[in-house]
Amino acid sequence: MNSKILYKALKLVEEVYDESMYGVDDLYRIKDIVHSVDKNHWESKKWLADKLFKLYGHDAGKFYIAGGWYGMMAYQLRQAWPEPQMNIISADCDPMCEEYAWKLFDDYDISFKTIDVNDEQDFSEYSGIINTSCEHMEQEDLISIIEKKPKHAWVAFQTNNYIDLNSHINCWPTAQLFAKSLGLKYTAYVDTLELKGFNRFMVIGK
Amino acid sequence: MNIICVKFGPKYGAEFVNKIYKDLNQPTDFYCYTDDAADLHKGVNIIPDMGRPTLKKWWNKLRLFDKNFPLSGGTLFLDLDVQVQDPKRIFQIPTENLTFINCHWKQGKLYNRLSNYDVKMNSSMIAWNANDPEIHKIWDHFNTGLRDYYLRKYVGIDRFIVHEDIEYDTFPNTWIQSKKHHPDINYKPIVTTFEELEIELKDII
Repeated sequence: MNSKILYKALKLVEEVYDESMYGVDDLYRIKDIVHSVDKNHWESKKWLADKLFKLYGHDAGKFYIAGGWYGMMAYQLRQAWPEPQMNIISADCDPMCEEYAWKLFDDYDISFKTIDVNDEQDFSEYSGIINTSCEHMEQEDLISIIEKKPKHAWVAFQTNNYIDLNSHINCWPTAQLFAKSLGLKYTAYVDTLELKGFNRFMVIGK
Repeated sequence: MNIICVKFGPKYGAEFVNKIYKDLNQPTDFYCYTDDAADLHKGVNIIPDMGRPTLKKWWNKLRLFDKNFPLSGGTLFLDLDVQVQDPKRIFQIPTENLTFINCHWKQGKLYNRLSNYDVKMNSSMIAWNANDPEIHKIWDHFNTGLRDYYLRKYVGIDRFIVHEDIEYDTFPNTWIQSKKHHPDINYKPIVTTFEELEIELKDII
């Protein structure tokens, strides 16, 4: 884990606390930000970046991250593709994600934006669509992303089997079933990362 | 007046709905919003799951405030772990304003905190007018880009209602008994709530 990122997360937590005293009270952001940089998320997103890097085989392109949260996935992709010819866009429908992501990862050449992935009509310019928030999204929306992407664009999706959380509306029991549900024309990688108390599943393909 | 229960997931079976229906003497305007209508009494009007956004457990109660929800006029919601004590008075409950249970047994600074902390109301019984546009704004507010954040932030809809600054009234304290907090009372309530207690059907018969 990168101490610079963790330090920035601490400063952001301080900012949220200060804001709660004089402006918008939203202390839950503190917990949310801490979750976003914790070991589980760090490792799961690094796992995706490492595996996708091996399969992708180029140093250039344009990646779109759906449900990008506070930017950890984008940061891990930038670590794997440090050159500027890889364009990385991280999108989330929660406007605070964009605001805080710019503060956490301002110097990593990543674009953050606020948009619901269902409002994205055109994925034609992207060479990879990444989504590590599949457990939070409707299954038909995942399928819609795949249908809208260019034929040769990579897809790297993660979900999990952690059904106890109310925000987890699209969990799967195994990586294989999740892969089957996506109906990709080409599946390059399907695997499970065993985490403390639950499993994270990843599917990479086209 | 419409009376409605919400049954999603396996925690409470059809027998809990049927019991409330029978305790109220099988009213015509009794509804159940559910993802599984099996074994519900044939007199219960079923409103099937309205689909996306997919919600789990008690979050489906918020769907009652959707302007597309197929009910109109005065409506009263009852949780499945509620025991009806006075069926006649149920039908006299005013439904002009959005009204929840006042948890008057919860005292102290804890419940006046900001952010996402515990609150002094609960939604075991709710009254509202389904035609009121202000009610529909609650559902609309929930369905912004922050919906997933709300599902993480708030334990349930009670905290969502309070901390998102939705205006509401509360029922008179003597209309409600909390089995957990007020097991012994000297008044006749309209309903007894079993919130925060794990119950089986035999506990409320």
